[in-house]
Amino acid sequence: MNYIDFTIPQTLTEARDALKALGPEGMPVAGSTLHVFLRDEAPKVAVDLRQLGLNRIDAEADGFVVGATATVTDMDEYAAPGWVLDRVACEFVTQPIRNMATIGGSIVRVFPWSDWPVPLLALDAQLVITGDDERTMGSSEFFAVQPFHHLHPGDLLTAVQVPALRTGEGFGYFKERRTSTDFSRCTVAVWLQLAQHKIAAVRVAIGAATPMPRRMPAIESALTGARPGPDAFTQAVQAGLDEARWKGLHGISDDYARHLASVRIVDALTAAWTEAKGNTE
Amino acid sequence: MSKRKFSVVNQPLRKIDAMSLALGKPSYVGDLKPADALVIKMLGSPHAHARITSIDVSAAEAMPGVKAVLHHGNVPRIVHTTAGQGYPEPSPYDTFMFDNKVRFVGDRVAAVAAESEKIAKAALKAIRVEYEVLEPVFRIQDAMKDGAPVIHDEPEAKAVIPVPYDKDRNMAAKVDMEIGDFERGMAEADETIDYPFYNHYAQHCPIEPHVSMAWLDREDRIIITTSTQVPFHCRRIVAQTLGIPVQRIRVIKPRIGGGFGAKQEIILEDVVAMMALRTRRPVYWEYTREEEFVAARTRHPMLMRLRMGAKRDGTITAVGLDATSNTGWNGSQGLTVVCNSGSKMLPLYKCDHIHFLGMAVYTNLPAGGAYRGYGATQSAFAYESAMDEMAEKIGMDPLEFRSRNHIRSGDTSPVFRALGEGREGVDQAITSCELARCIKAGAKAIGWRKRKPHTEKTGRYRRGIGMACLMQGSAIPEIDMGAATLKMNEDGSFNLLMGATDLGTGSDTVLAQIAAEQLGTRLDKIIVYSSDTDMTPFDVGAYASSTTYLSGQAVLDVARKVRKQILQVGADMLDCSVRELTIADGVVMRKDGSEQVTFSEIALHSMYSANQFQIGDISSKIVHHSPPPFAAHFADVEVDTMTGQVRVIKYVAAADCGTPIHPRLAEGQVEGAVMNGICYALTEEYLFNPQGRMTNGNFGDYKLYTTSDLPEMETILVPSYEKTGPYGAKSIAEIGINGPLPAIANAIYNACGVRLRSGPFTAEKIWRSLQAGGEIPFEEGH
Repeated sequence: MNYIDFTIPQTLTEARDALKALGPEGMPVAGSTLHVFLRDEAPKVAVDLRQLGLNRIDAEADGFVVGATATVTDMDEYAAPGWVLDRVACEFVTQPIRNMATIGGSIVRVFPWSDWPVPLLALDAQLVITGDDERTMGSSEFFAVQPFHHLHPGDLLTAVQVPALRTGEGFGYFKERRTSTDFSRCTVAVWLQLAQHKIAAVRVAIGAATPMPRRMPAIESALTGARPGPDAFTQAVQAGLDEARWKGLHGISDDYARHLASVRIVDALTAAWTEAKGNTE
Repeated sequence: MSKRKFSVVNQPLRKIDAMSLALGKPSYVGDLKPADALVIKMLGSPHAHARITSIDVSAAEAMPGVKAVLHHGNVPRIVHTTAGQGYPEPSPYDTFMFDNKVRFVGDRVAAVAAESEKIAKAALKAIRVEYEVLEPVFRIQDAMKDGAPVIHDEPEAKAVIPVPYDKDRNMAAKVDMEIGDFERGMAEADETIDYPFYNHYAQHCPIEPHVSMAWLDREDRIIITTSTQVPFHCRRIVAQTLGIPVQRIRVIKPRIGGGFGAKQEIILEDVVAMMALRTRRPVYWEYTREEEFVAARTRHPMLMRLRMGAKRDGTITAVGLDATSNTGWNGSQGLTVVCNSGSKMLPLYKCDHIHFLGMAVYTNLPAGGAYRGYGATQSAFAYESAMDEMAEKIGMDPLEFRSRNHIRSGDTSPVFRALGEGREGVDQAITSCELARCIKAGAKAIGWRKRKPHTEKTGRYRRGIGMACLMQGSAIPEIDMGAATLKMNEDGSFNLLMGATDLGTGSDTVLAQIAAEQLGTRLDKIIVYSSDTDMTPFDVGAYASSTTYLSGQAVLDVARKVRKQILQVGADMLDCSVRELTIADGVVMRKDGSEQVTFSEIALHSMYSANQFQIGDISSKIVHHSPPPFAAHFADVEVDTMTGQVRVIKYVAAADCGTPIHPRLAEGQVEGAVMNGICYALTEEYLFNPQGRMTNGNFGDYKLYTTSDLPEMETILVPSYEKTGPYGAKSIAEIGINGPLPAIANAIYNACGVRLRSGPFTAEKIWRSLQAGGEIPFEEGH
């Protein structure tokens, strides 16, 4: 990135005004940890969002509202009943990067190996965009394209609404990598709800092993209403793998990416099921 | 075992440079860059093999801020080797500062010196080059075929010592050695094995990449400050490459941010020197990480064939090792690395019939060079894997099989004489070997007794334990030389001037400990300066695990001489004979304690009062032996048989390095080397596209462990006393890297029955092997 100036607005309005005025030259920044991956050489003015008070995590009736500039460390350290994103945060690269990276910066621009879209898809998180008016978008819609395309000049992603895990629900998350600092080769997240010993609802999301993070609806359909267990998980996963295009990253083959995903989806389903069984009133 | 009690040696004292480094004081080449230094950038070849048919640098030269452009058309064409080795070098002369031919993707085409990096990069884009693209060759087997593209077709390429060299067949080096009758040994065996192995590319990855700067002093001498392991070889080779006398060059080595062998090469210094001459300005050149991967040096990839015969009672009847390295675009260290593959492992187990064939083959890929382990890493993988396989064949515990056969104190091996560094070696008997105790201590720490065969293991996650035994050397006998100067100051402190090169290893501290021990003073009384070709005496530099053993002997010798002088002056002052005196803690005293003089009083007396002279001396040493350090390594791993993922749970390294002069630094060397080896075994690999371009030349994609990835590690220093070494010391720096590849391979086999013959041991490779029933054929990497 080629920054030629910067500004530090103190309010959301100031930030939006600055970005509107700058147009394509304006670049919202917070932790700046992803900028190393951006190849844009055009001159940019950095608009620092860190003074806008968007770094809070608040518990609400149905879940949590995570401010867009909450850092990964904030999410790692936050604790409340039904909060699961600390399990994702603690697997995120290294502590110095966790201290700087924000949830907003991590999801506005998505790479194949991005960690956060996968659990947010599985949890069916809602994304709050503040423009001339405020609008909320479901995670499946938000991640269906490169998310920054949803943002008009002056729009900012300001919060992520994350449902809390409730009675009868479980969450499973796996990130496959070579070293602690490595990009993910396969990220899997599963949210699962049990009712009367059957799967009442399930969401399966995957990233890194596919060109972009995505849900796996065929697997979800096959499991909804089914009695959970290793055989059911394996059968559903094997039957549903073909709906995705598998892409190996960093020297692994596409075949192996597919195989790895099949194993880790079953692992994540098992972990979510185990938690759901224990997550009773 | 240690025979003596020491006061400075064998103590975990504070490193002498610890505070300055911890405080971030300017120490490294980059810290010393003059504000007005021009920045050098290099245009790299886009082709793996091509002839430059035209080059037009006029637009670049005309750009504001550009001060010089170098290319093959405007520099001397002097053939040389980049290998920082003793003269005449065992590496072939096959390199020019710039050539009209490029031999790998990234090869030098033209260099720009400009007022800023931005201008230099812009100038590179303005250089117009036309190429005649030639057929490249990347694999060893392809390069050796009849009719293969000839990589060094220039007439100047040659070997400068009498060794086989056939550039027309891409053969950079060859050595063939037989002891006894190998075929007879195989015929006498009850069981035989014959397996291929492949060692993959890896890079040293020093935190500080190659970096050099140069300027002209008022006498027009070229002052080169550079991150090098070999300042004196650097001076000689730069003089040769520029066609100027050594006298005109001074090389200064400041602190170094790691070398591991990579900086035993002259890679930047010729260009910075030439640029300083052309521009008459200070110039600075620092490799990017991508350049470090591609244009610096690598571990030589090697294809190996290991044959072994043994009787059912555990007697090894024959060992045959064929090792062929991919030396890449130049033959730097090609001969000596492949020689080491034989000489540093084949003596480890007693055997009467041994055959070794070593070759180094040119290809159009990045060049191999010196890298910690230096050939032994590659052969340890093959040999120690084969030891496990043979043990299984004859129905013997692999630990017992090794224990029955390994070399011991008092033993010798015909390999020592038969294989040297590019020439015949030196007879030697083992005078210190505690390998048996290393095996015993390591086995206990890892829990060897609980180890079961893989056939008894079930379930998705399976644990396995593997081991490997290792040896290395300590300096190159009858070749390497070190020297030290020691002089005493008025306050009883000493200047220790050495050509030995501390590249982050702590050798300045270790050598100062040796001097302080001998002088009878404290470590903080020794002021170390290393190294500067104008100021410090000659030393070959830091390589071949030589510094403590070789340079340490020079330091010990000069300290002995200075101690004698101190005693003599003390005797004059106390009006007694030297025999009546002793030294302790910076004081010379009568043995009966009746009178004493301090070092300061002695120095003042000798400088200002009577028979005036400065107490001081110089010593040079070569070594006649290369006593091996020994080690036994053990790995405890867990394999996920569903994904193939392998995790090292615990790693134990038990090492015999003689007397550890600084135990903490010795442990650090072991732990660093083991981590280095674990990464090599599990994660490090070069990925190339079909055109020979490396596609993962950055730390995002080329993965190294960090401290957060460390398995539980246990280092056990098993002391011995090497009587030829300073205070009983041998080397420790390299041996540790040789263990993880075979120990982890053997542990994976013990966990799940998968035998891996090529690295790295990726999850996909293990999964595919499991799918195939235990083994898959490997392809030579590229």
